[in-house]
Amino acid sequence: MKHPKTLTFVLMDAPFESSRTATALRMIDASIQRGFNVNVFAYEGAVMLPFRHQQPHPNLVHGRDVGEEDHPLPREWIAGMMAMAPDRGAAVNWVNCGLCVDERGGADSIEGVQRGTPADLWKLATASDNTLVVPTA
Amino acid sequence: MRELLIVETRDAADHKDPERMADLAIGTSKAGIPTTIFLAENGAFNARANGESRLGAAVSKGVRVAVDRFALTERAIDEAALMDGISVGDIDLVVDRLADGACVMWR
Repeated sequence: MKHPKTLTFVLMDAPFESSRTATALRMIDASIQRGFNVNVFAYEGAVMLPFRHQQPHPNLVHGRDVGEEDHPLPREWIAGMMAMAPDRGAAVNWVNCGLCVDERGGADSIEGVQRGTPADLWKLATASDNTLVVPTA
Repeated sequence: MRELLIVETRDAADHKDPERMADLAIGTSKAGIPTTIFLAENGAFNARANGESRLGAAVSKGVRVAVDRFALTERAIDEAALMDGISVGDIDLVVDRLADGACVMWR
């Protein structure tokens, strides 16, 4: 049986601020679609990407309620990819930098997110076929 | 030799670095390293035929240049407006290069 590829993505950008978030999540999605295992090491603002308490909001300027606005939430995208991965024969291992989490009070993440340290990033990268660092703009 | 993929996300009209990345790609290609530039996010603006960039020189020197279809759509850039020699691709291109062991640089 062919060894499945494992890719590690290192993310830094906070949610709702940069195109980086959508681009990074698109790469993770494409990796899962191929059946690749995905490691994510999130640090700095990116630890808030899977924050459990993200909430959609209405758009009062355009007169749209919450349902009509359908505001996208990164935590939902991440949860969706984690749920989809087993169907593709893949696994998503999401590790949040613990210090970055504590600084931001962001410990309450969605299910499946782990807490780690930069040493975990080294371990993930060492065990991966390749690693991509996506720095902040 | 490992392939080099440079993911350029910045508009050359706003930053000087995309020009430097194009020059880097020309240099690595000249040194025999297969080199690709993938234009994502605001880097898609650099793919326009009337845009400010050194990509034309890079293409003429053997650097492969592709632009993210998603980024073009977001910015309403018509594929017909792209510089000659630039292809349109998807984010899968980055994932496939990673899986093949390429050195991927995100800018």
